[in-house]
Amino acid sequence: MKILIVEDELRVAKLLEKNVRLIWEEVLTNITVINNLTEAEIFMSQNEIDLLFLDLNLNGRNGFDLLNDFVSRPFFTIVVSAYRDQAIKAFEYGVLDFIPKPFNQERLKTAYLRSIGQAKEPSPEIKNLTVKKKGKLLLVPVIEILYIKSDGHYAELHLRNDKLEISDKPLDRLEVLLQNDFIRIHRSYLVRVNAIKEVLRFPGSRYEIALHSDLNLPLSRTRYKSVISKVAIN
Amino acid sequence: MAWLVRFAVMASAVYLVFVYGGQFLTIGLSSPYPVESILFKAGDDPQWKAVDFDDSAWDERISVDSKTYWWRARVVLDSIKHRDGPLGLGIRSSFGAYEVYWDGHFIGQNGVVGNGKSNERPGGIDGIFLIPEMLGYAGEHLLAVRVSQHRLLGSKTMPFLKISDYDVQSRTLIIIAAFMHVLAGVFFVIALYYFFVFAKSYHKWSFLVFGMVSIILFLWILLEYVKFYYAYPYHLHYLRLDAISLFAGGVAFLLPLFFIIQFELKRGWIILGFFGAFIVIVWYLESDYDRLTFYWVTVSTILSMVIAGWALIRERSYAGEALIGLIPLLMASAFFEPFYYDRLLFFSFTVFIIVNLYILSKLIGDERQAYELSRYRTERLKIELLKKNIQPHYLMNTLTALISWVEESPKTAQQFIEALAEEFEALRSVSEKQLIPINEEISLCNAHLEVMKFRNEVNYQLSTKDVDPTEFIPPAIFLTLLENGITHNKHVSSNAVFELVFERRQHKKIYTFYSPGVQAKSEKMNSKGTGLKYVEARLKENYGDRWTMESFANDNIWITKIIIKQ
Repeated sequence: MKILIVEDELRVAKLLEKNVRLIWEEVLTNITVINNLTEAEIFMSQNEIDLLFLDLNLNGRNGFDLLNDFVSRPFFTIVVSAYRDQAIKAFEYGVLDFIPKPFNQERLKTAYLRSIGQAKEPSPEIKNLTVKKKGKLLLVPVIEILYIKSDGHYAELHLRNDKLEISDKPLDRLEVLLQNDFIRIHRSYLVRVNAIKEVLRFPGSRYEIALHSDLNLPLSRTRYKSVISKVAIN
Repeated sequence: MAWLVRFAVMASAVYLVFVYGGQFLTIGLSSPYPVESILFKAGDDPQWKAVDFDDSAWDERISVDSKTYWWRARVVLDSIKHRDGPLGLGIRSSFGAYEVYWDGHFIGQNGVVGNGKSNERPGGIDGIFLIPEMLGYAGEHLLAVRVSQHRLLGSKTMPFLKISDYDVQSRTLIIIAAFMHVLAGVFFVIALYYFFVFAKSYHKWSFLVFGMVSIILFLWILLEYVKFYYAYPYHLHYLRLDAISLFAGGVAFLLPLFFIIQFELKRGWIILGFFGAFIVIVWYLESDYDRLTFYWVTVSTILSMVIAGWALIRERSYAGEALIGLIPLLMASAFFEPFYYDRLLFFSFTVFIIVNLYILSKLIGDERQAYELSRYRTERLKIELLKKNIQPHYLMNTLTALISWVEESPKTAQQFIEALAEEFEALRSVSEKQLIPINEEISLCNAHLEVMKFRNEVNYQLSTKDVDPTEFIPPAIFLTLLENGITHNKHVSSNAVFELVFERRQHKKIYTFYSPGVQAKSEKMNSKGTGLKYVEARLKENYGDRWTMESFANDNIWITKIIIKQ
């Protein structure tokens, strides 16, 4: 995992880097610390990253306008902020986690588990996914999404009104972000749990998911059990 | 719209006062019986009181130097005019001691006629005499008056005669005086009130002037109407008129002064100087007391209206109302008539006093509101200042940095905590004050820099140049600029030197603050950021409009210039 820390407070950045190295040790491939946005932008345009730690109040700037931009990109964003009251808003924007300052190792471990999709407790609800459309940022309400189909590095967001939006995030990351309401039914499909009408079984151990909107999606054999259990609960 | 309503209300008030005041003005002026021309003759002869004496050779005037003389007049009483009681003969504004003969019969005297200053007892300025009922029949009557005047030589007045019901005539003047004294009482109380307010609670000069106008109007009325109930000796007449002129001149002078103070007219003293000169010059040139008052009050009113009009254009508070309050005075001048000018004047002044009473009370309310607002702002700024250390960006980052030092070097962490304590204490010690010595501000900045050194591991310094330790400034304004500078600093090196330069120019103090390492274009400093808003609010709180602040970038250095005018 390639991690970037953008933090203008030197000691905070040092503490964060030290702890991230420790906690993400198993998955970490490299870590970079940058203290301003301009350089961070340059770095991101030249390097692919998986996880961004972002201070929302960099050099006196309000971070929400840039947050909107970052969360539309393929990587995960974890906000590290002194302003606890910004947490709810940050989650609505679709961040993976919000870590209030001052932080400790326990809190970072929770964030770590979330980043690898093994969170013990569900994350706060994400209300929107930010997608880039014709160079502009667009907020897609999560509640509108029926299912998501993988398309290489991208993901197609299929909405209730038959609309289609493209997210820059790969399906794996969307699965992590949307784990509260969505379930992975196939290598290429993520589907809203309460949109599932029934599970269809065909000869030859072939399965399909029937949605309320009269649409069938493939269900892979290996995921059959977990889907059945989740649908049953719902 | 609200202005229009106020205008309408005030205009109707003015109108009502004039309608009812107008009726009152004419009381006691008309004489039901015409008096034919008065004839004079110097000297003294008991024959001259006789009805059948031939006075055809007498003059219509008398030499002003005559010490003993007679005057005679013929009066026609009409039987048609119904009477309830005996007739009275009023002789007003007459100089001397005199004996009055009606149809040759002695009916009374005013003072004691004498042949020298020593044995003349001066008569009162006004006299009223009962015409015996048996001599009050319809037809022509002869009035003969024997006069001695050994005082006020060189001055004579044409006797003003009035023949009407004795009771009514003697009562009417008292009634007028009584009514006017009601106004006097009002002026007196208003004067006292404003003197007390000025002396004890509100040291506003316009209040003092207003109190003076009121007290002079009070004294003026007393002196003006004293003769209606006390016929003072005739030789005191000019003394009284001079005193009245003094009051009239005083009020005329104070009126524009009042508006100059109230509307803060800067060059008002010059105008007032010219007007004062005008008052003195007219006093030399005009001998008629009524006209003198007329000129003074008219010019004073017009001048005051010009000032109020100027204030109205400048949108000063209550200029419109002030203008309305002056209209009756202007009308009094327009309808100038010596017989009732005084009454007209006092009614106009009453309107003026009432309108301005309203304005002053509104001003007190406005000022209280402004005061409360400013106190509220001061409290808010105090809170704003104290919040600096507990606002999350500062506090949480500091605590996070502290955790990192605790892990890495407990000794440094300890120093960090001590620096933090210093800054908290420095900020607390200035938080209650509106102005602090500049050195205290610099200590505060240094305490903050100590903390920031631990947070960012940058060797921050604040250097000062020509800072005058006797100067005072609002607390935490340079601290705020420093905080902004650190926030926007690019940490390009491990050193950062901020600089505060003081310059004293004519009527100006200039503080220039230099923040290094700020990239103006990419990381634009927002001039409306909360930090600068705090600085602006503090400057406004202490210096009103007498300051400017500008911020600009030059060569990666952010420069903030605060100019305080004196």
